[in-house]
Amino acid sequence: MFANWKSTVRGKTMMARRIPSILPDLSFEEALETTKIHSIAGILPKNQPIITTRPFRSPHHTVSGTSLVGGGRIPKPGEISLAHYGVLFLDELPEFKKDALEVMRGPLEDGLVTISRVNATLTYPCDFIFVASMNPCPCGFYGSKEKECTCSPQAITKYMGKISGPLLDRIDIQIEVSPVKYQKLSDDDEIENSEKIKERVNKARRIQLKRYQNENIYSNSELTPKLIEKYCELNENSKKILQIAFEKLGLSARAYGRILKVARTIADLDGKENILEEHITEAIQYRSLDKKYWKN
Amino acid sequence: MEQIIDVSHQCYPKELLKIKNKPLKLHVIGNEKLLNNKCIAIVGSRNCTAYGFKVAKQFAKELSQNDITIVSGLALGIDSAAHLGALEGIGSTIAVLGHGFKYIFPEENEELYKKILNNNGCIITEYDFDVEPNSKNFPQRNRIVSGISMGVLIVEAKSKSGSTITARLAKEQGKNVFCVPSNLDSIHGLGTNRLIQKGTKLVLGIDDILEEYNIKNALVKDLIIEDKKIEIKEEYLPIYNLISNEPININELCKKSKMNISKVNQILTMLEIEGVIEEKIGKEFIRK
Repeated sequence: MFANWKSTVRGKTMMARRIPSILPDLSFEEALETTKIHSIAGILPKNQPIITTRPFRSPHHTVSGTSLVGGGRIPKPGEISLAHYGVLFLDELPEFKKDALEVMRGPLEDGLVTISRVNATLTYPCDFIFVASMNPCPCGFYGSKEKECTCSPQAITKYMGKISGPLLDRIDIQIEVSPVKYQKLSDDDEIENSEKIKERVNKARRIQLKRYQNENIYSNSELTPKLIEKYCELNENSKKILQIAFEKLGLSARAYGRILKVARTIADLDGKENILEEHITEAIQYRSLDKKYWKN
Repeated sequence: MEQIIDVSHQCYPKELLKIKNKPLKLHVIGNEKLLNNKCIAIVGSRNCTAYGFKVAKQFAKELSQNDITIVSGLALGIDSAAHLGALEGIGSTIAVLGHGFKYIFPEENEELYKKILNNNGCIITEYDFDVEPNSKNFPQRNRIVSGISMGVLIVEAKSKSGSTITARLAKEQGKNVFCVPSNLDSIHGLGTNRLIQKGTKLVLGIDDILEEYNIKNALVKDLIIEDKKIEIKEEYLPIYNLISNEPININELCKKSKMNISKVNQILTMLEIEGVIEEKIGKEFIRK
């Protein structure tokens, strides 16, 4: 799960839309399951009997809780199940109805959603990558150098408050993006392209599949606290760094497991067997919203 | 608990007695003895920059260490920085509210409110217990902020703002006004720069304030201008050297250092942990 927030109109949606291009390939089992769900929902294209790419769902912010998790007289899968093994992208997260967002909390954790209606009680899988984006404040310019933010501090607090703490805590990677000029984007010739990134992602996935072959899970994101202890072991130095970071940078205690999982993934991408200091220190930088500096 | 001090009370601030339209009574919580200390007010923009916040805090801390009580308005931004800085110093600080004690305004400062009281500070207001926060009362409150102080330091103010009103009031009351300069391209510093242009004293450090009152700086050195000598590991230097007192974005850091993002992130975390840099909103970094 990851969220980014940015301070003007350029960048984040474009970035989120590029995510499918670096997602790891769909395995045969995953493809079958995804196809099943799309078939039940009645949205499987006629000319495409099996879905071979990871789904990318981006419902509009007027979406209701029911259409997000699924429902109806005979419950149909909702957006989170349609995003199974793929990405659910919520653009402008604070604009979503609060109750619609809160219903996702359980499914996010479990990877399953059970919907009960008079006619049927059904359980759909919903193992998806949750991506969301938001502005730092209603006007979008808080912290921007180019234009002054016109929001009152109360308005900013209210805006941030639309997303509950428990939901924020479930977001592993939080990145702030600052406005980028188009020219700057196209000027950079050293940027790694999607194909290369995808290669790295696939490699990391293979490492994870191999590591967890006896654990009945596929990836780092599914690690339970017990498995974290087993597979995310830290050396003495890293432990110390993490401890100091918690004390000095005001990270929330709930961030602990998430930092370890992200560090594990960084290490996998790096092709290292153990988590090293550099992986931990990098993972800490991805907890932007934990540090409460916007309150000064 | 709350006590009421009227003009005849021995604790009524002597400085305040001198001004016209003085409040006839003050509601006080906390250490009322502070009211007759040597006070300096530090005020400024609620929407301050990282620079303003840092400078206000530093001035407040150093003045406090010279046994001067810091007065401010418990608002966000510079006011908070002033109180926080004083708490880091010896800790005597007075917050002047523009409403009754029934409310804590803004809510975000509840923690600061308690901290001030726990550290033997003092909170005062001229309003009765249940007067609600109302922005029209705040400029009125400013006359007390400047009134109980020997002088007013303005750190950041926009061209037409409460802080410039405070500056005017302070001058009318015959108090000294001091200003911290800002960058020319900063809207938050326009008011203060304008005041300096019109002859308000520009201060570079607390010495410039203390000399007006013939107080000797008890601190060894002016910490703001002093070049801090910090040991930085050599591998972190390429990043550390790019970070200055002006916030710099992480993308710029990557570009200028020609390192990849993960390496930059690693170094930033280490520098943050060592406490030599600080992260600001928008993934920007400044030296601490």
